[in-house]
Amino acid sequence: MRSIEVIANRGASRTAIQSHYDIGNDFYRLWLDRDLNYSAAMWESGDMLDAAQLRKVDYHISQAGAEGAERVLDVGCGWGAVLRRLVEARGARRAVGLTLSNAQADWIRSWGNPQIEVRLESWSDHHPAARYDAIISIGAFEHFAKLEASDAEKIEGYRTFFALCRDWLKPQGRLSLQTFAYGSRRPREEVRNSAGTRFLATEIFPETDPPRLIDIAAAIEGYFEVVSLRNDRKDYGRTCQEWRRRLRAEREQVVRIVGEEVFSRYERYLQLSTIGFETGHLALFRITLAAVQ
Amino acid sequence: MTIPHSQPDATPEEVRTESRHKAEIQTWLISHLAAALEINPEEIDAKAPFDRYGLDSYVAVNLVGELEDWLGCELSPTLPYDYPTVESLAHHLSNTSAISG
Repeated sequence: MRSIEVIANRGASRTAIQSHYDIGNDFYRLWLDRDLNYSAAMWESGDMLDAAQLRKVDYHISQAGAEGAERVLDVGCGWGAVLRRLVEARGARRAVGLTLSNAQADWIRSWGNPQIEVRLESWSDHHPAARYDAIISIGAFEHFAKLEASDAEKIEGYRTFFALCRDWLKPQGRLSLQTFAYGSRRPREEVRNSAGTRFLATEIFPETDPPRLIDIAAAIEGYFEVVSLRNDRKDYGRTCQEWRRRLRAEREQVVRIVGEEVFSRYERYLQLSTIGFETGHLALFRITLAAVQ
Repeated sequence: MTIPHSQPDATPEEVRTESRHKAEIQTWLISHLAAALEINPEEIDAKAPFDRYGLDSYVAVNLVGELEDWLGCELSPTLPYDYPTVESLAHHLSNTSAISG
């Protein structure tokens, strides 16, 4: 039997995650929303970014059945927007967040909220004290497989994640997952080999290869049942456009903090991502899953 | 050079202004596209879709970035996908710049 650690190591390493997310809170604060959500928002017409991000957070809390819950886990909690919303507005008693980024963990700890626990550990190392009522994971699953992994290895890694989530949940518990993925409009190899994807894989998200829907479908078998599935790729296209607009508006400050090179790299990443999501080469899945007992 | 279609309800002056602008943008697009894709400008057919010339998202982002610098306004990186030929993109940009003044 393979140890979980061996399998989990096929995903992006701690170093790879930190290279992206530890650029600094000050940098991300300049162009993300008020609550530092670094994933696709959920837009309705007339929305500003703050409102669209909050709608996304509330959507996942509702879908996971986490409202008023005793214990909720957020895998890949970022700067803690979901954790905070859970305990401050949605009646959760305890919210536990996992992240590999020091900057993010420090940020959340600085709130000193006794209902929120942030852990600097991978999901593969997590050993919960008790079962959770609900699990939310937004914009983390993308990092669970490396570019060089075979399809079988990717699915095996994802299966390990879903098996653990199922074991951590109380009976009938739900997992609300948001991840970007390869779309099905073009063959994956064509998208993967494009200059745009190669730029993102080497310059922006090292050691990361997004899933396909078929990988997720294979990986949940026996562990979870699909309750709902949405491809909201246009939501991510709009989010990337808005992030880019804000990045440019703060150009002077951004360059002062991280330099011209990082500014240009991020602007290009946001433009390429916009194209990916608007053309459908990339998908944005919001999947509600119910644990199978 | 293609002769622009004049719209029945447009005054001759409007047609001239738009077509001059569009022609200028079209020339710019062909020369920049040719340079980016390392092909001869003569090989680019203004009515042919960009992907015939191997335009991928990376080249599209560069092209739109240069367009933004030239036109002095912020543009969507998806423009070459929304208007997938030199002619349609030039037409769109000439209308947009006419509206924004």
